Amino acid sequence: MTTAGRGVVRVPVQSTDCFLLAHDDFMQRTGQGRHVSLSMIELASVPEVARLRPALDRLVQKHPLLAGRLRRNWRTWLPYWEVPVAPEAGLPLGLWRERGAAGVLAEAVETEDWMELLQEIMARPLVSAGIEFKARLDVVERRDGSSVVALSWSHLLIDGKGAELLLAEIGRLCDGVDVPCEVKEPPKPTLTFKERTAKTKGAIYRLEELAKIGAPSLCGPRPRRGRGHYRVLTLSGEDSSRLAARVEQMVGALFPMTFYVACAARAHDRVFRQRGREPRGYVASVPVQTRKRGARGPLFHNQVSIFFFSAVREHLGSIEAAATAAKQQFAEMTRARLDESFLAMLEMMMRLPSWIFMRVVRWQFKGEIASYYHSHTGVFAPELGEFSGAEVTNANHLPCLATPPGTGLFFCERGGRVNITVSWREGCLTDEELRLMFGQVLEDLFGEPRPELLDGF
Amino acid sequence: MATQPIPQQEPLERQLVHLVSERLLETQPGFGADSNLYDSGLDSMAIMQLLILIEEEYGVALPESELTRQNFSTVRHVAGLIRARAGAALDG
Repeated sequence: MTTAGRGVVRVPVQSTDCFLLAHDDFMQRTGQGRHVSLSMIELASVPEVARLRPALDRLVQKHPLLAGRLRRNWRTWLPYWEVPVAPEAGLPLGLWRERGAAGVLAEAVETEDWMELLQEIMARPLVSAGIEFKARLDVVERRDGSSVVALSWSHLLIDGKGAELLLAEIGRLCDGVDVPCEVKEPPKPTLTFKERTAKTKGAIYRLEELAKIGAPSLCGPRPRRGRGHYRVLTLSGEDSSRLAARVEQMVGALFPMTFYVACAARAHDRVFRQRGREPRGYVASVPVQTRKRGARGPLFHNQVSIFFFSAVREHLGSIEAAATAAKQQFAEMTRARLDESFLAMLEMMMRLPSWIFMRVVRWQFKGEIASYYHSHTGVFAPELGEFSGAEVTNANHLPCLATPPGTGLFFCERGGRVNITVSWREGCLTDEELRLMFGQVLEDLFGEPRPELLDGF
Repeated sequence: MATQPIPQQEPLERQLVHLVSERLLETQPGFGADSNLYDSGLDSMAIMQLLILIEEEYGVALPESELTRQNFSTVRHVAGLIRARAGAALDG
């Protein structure tokens, strides 16, 4: 961190941040808004706003990056965060009340459709008191006395796991627990240019191999204007236990994510086949955490690398074959340390202007970035049992994505229940295709169709 | 691949505790051979990385049949697997 005068400090960005910066610029240039996702916790009752407000003030004082602005060094063209030393406002807080709610949140504004409202908030700049924040919090009091706390966050600064850690940090501050979130990382070796170039080879070979398969997406390679849509399905505890047993039987208890990678591939393939297309295969972009597991931080920067999974036609015929292929790729990519290789590649590209960066990213797959996005983020913030005096009953993410690829399938767990989220951009998926996609996912999850779980879709 | 001999009893547990704390998990003070690894954040990626570290450090490849939740619940269990596998390789 360096001081740059005028009450600001400079904080360097990290290699993956540069991809997200280029991606955010790409979204803006193509009329798709900003890259803002939402992480939501459901509470048994309404949180105490009297504890929440000072916690959000303290949050920004403690983590002024939340009020930071991205700049580029005019000489090196490297992006950096310009961070105010003493930000003058707390994190924006919106209070809302579902029509018919008791009105425990006295200052709340009534809303007809809170899910629609949250999606509108995600699509707007997170500006408050003249500051473009990188996150905001909204609380919705529901008719049944429960509530929803929604953290909207910019991918420029925060990633999915970071959002969970940030919610846990807000929860701690509400409880008056103000502890450091930094993590002591082991020192990284200093590499020469030649060594860094050599390190990128694994990722380059992998991309060349995947280019032969291609990465067709449901929206096609041309960016489209239009808003994001989200649907979440929460499985019951009983169904989730049944699913866990099936996952264990198919890929072993230790690598559940490979089963979900296979589910995402087959669900997308179902929609492609419905459209009369049978591509040779697909490429999924799956984030892998570079944080140390179990850590309280780091809260900020995109602490992820990418594993690109492929799913070829001969493996798409059954969930068993698709899961076995995904598991094998997972082992090979981990063994080849492709996570480190991709980071090395991104680091080499950090100085590129965003529009060139995105050209490079899209070049390999002829305008596409991946066939779809996917992640299985495991248990959502397991450390967060209570939030500002209210018990947490469920939690999930609504990941924002752009066209291409325009669709994504995401899984997480909370309290022994699995949440399935489908994200798509306007025009990428019809209502019928959404049902088909969910239907295929459920069939693969349970080994039999479960149409009753699709009531209301 | 340069591998080291499998130490007997406690030194292996100590080495694994160090390996896990340094490379994989943000462990809390008091973390030891009998601490629950899942409570410390062990996930699919960390398990795969641990398997590869075990291969690189000790030259032991654990078979699919032994990759169960129970076997990876503590460092002591993992150490037991490594010893059993190294012993089997020597016997073979």
